[in-house]
Amino acid sequence: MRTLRVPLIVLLALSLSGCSSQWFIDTFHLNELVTFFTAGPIAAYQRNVMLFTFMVMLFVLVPVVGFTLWFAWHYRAGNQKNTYTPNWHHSNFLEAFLWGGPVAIILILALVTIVSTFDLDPYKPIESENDPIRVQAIAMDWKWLFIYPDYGVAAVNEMAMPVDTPLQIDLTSVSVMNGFMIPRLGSQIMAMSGMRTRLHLMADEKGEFFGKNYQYSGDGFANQRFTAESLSQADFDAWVDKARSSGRPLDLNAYRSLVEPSRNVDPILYSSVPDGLFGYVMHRFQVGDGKIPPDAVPSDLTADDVAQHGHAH
Amino acid sequence: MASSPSHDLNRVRAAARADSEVNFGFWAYLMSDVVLFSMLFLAYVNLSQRYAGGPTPGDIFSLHGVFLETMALLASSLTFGLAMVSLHQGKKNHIIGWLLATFLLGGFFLWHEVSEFVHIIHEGASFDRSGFLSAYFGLVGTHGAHVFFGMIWLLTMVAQVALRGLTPAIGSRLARLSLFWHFLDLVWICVFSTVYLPGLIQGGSA
Amino acid sequence: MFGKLTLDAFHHSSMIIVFANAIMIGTGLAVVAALTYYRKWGYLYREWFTTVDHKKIGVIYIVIALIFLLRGFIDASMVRAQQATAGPGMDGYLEAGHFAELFTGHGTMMIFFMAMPFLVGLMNIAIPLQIGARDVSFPLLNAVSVWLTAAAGALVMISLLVGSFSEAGWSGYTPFSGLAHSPGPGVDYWIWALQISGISTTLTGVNFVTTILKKRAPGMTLMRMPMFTWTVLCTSILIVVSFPALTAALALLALDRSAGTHFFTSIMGGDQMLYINMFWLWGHPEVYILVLPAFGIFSEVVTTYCNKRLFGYTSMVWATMAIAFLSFGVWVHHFYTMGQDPLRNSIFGIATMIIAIPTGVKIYDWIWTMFRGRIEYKLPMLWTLGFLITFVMGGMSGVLLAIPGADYKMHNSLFLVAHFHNVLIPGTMFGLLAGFYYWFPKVFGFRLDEKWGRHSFWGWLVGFYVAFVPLYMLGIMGMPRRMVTYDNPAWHFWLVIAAIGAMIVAYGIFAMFMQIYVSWRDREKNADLTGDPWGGRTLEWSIPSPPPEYNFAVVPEVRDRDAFMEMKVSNRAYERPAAYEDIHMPKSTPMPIVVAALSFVFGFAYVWHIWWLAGLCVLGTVAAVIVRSFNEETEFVIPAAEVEADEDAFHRRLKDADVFERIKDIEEYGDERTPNGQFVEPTTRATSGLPG
Repeated sequence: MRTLRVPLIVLLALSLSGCSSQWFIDTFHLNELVTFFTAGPIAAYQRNVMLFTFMVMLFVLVPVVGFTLWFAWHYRAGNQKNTYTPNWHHSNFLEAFLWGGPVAIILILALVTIVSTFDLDPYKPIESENDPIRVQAIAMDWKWLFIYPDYGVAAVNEMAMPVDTPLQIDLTSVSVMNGFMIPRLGSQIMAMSGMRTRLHLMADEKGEFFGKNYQYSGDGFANQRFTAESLSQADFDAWVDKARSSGRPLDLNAYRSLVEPSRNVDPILYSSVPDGLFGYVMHRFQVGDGKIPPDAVPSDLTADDVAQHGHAH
Repeated sequence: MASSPSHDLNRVRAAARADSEVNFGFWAYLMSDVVLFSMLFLAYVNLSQRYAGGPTPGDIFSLHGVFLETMALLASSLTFGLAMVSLHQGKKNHIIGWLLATFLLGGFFLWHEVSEFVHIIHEGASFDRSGFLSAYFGLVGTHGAHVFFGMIWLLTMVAQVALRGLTPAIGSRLARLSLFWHFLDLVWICVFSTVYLPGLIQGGSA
Repeated sequence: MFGKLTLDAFHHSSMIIVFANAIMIGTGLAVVAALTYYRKWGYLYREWFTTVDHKKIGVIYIVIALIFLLRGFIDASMVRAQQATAGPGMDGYLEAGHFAELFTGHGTMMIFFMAMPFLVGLMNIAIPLQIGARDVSFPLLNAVSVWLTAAAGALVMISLLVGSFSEAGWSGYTPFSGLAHSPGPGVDYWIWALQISGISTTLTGVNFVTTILKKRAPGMTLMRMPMFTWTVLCTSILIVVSFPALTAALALLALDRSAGTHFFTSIMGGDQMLYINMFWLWGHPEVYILVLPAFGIFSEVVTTYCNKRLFGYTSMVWATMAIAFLSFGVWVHHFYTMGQDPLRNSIFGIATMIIAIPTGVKIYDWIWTMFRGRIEYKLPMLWTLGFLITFVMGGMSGVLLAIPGADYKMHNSLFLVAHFHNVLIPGTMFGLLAGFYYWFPKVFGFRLDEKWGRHSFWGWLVGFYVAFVPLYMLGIMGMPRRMVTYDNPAWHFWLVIAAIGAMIVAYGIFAMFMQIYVSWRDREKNADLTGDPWGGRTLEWSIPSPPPEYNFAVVPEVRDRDAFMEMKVSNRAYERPAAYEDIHMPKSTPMPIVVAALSFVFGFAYVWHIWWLAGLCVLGTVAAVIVRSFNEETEFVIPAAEVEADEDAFHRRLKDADVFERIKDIEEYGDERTPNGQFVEPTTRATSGLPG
């Protein structure tokens, strides 16, 4: 959605005539308006919904502000030449407009709401010629663990994706409620312990994007962020290879120490991850105290169909 | 001001009307209590399947106990109704008698409920065992607490009727206590059909 | 013996908190010393601590609100200062935990201890006067409510000294607010402060529903009630129906924390989303509880200062009821991102937008009331104009957030923070201040200074824009709320501007306190001798300022919506009866303050698990209620002669001020004065109107 960037900036900049647009952009950091400068179809759709709604709402804003200022000035008590009708208090003609106007606007926006909400449903797969990649995200105090079950690797506070390829992200938490979002790619969704939520995202340009927990979760909240890298397919494969060759497996012991609260965690890559870990940690909250028992062995993780439980839908 | 007994009784009857200003306010309070209970019902319905591997309704509910409790509470509503009839007839001693009967039936209900709680807890099904048990104790316990405060109120009213006789203020208070007591009966019917009935049907079929 | 309370609770690592405590204790001691020195304790006890007079209770509420306005604002300023001094390469001056206490405290105090008491205070002052009643339905309950609010506020205050306050945000989401993640006493303080003030508010709701439905003067049908009375009726019904949801949610959370139950925990079958549903089942109606009475105030203000009847009264009434009804069907919009299916999200999204329809109608009705009016720019009217222009922006961002697809993106960002401040500051705060300036002379008998009032207004208005437009920008830049540090230079730029905005608002608040002082100093000059300083239209302006204890010497008979204006037009204003009658009024009693003190100690004891003390407090409260119920001597009599003497004095003042001359020839519902105070013949005015 690069194409829209220039006109948008110009539009914003034109509102202050006499200054060069570059000066304006730099001073007010307008190139940081990430909600408008999107890098994926979901975020672009959301931006369009917001801009359209904003335009429609101008039909409310302009008359209200205009009439208020006009009447406030014109009918001031000092202006003795004005018509003054103290008893006048009703007009079916006006009332029809006062109720009809908002009803019409809300009808339009209700339509936008239904269509966009179904289109933007986080559970809805994104259509693409490339097959989606599965990611399992686990929110912890205060970092994110991303598991790539198709590749058998995992990463902390760093995730990678091939450009133009949909991601199917399953989320859960092993702590409090967390809100997962990569603003330039699209929607936020909550990660909750004992439950699984799902989010689909796709990047249509390459780059490094800011991602974060958006739901306050305690002392380390401010630094609980990660980098999402959108790479070419070759670079993504290289990233997976780098993880595989890191020689640091995420076994149960490594997992137990990772779960301990920590702040400002630098990215870590894991060369392997036990099958079924995601479902298992979710299941531990449904039947127990949320902790992985000391005597747990890797075969416990696949022992039952835990992943079927706790859909937050 | 004329103060013949019949005139006084009319003033008591007027004060006991459900739509008098002060009783109207009490209705408004009862509405807020309805919402409080609906929240607890909401919590129960939401948590009623979350056993966390612990006991299920079929393991802990007994039809026998619940039946006795229900009968006692229904009967107490009847005795309170008779107390209000006596109020309208101006029979002071009858009022006291029926209020005490209501108190005893309420006491039986509460005693039975508490002993059942103790029994369940002894079986290892305490309120901290699972979401289901928390919701069960929360809902039924809140109703029980209401009954308990209703009984304190009953005793207070018995004392007031005995000491002060039938004044408009006391007639008005009895009308409110009557609303409160019937309300608790109504809530219990809802508890019975939301908590015990599905629990027992489920338990029976399992 | 003392539960979990040890000397450690008094130890504070942050010098800022030590300093704040020093100020709090110092101020407290200074007040106590001054009261003792001037021998005011007896007066305070007789006239204020034991009063059941709704006007004095209203004043106590507003004093509580102003204290917490200062504290809530200090917290907000510290949050702004932290974010302005944190940033790339900077850490600011606060620890993460202290920062969290500040944003939690700010939200909690502004909603529960500033906005609610302010609102209930204005309700107390104006409602009985507007409906021609001598008091509320339950004066004793009213006194219990106000002192319970004070007790809850005291719990918030003492958390600064003993222990700490909650870090879980003003909405206290589980499982973060559960024992596993918030083991300290902070959340317990938060729970019991909210619980006690919530119960106080529920009692107020019960009281005002009954008062409005059962105590109106003869002739005041429902459709003749002033708009403020209508909105307070709707708000009171909302209170009765929604606050118990909060009571239940907090009670179950307290059980989770102290008894080990699993209602909202994340383990053992608890359901964290249940709390969030229950909280917002209360929380969304609460928004309308706060905003509807402010709408009522704007309606009163617009008609009074435009010297015109309210345009579209019937529409306004239906719109108010529609908003009240719809407010229960929208709570899910606070958590679109919790993974519901799109059908549910769109239904709640559309329900949310539908609320914009009646709200929009109200706004247009105010605008059309100004049309062909004669607008006097007194302070309340300024606040109303500021509200109209600013609120419509907040409404716009609200409709934007109501669309689930857009909310997926903006949720938990500073855009959301900007939105609800943009609704609540003009919608509630400006309304409360307009009401404060409007009714102040009625309560105290003198007007507030216009010059300092204008400074205050412009401080608030300009400060608001400078503080919150940056937050909209930051939200669009993707900045989450509640961040103690960050490293994006773009964010830092806008946060510095927002901090400057907070300073401008600070000037507005300073000017308001200055205004109160200056007006009090010049109270002789600003005196309102006639009881009708604004050319009022409703019954409260037909009696002296300040009103006598019994409000109305004779209960008025109402024949029109603008009841007092109708009296002026039909020459019935200030009519005197053939003979005055004795008036029965409720006696003062110390029972409410005893109950409130016990509630405070109960809350404190529960926070620190001092169970024996908590149990004693419950017993004490039950005993106090029972003892009170045996007291039959609850009223006293004001003799007819005393009433007549008061009325004689009032009529002398009216005559001295030429009021009878001025109102003699009013023939329509307009103004009685030109801007310079001269009376003009009504016949000189044009009377044309639009078709309708």
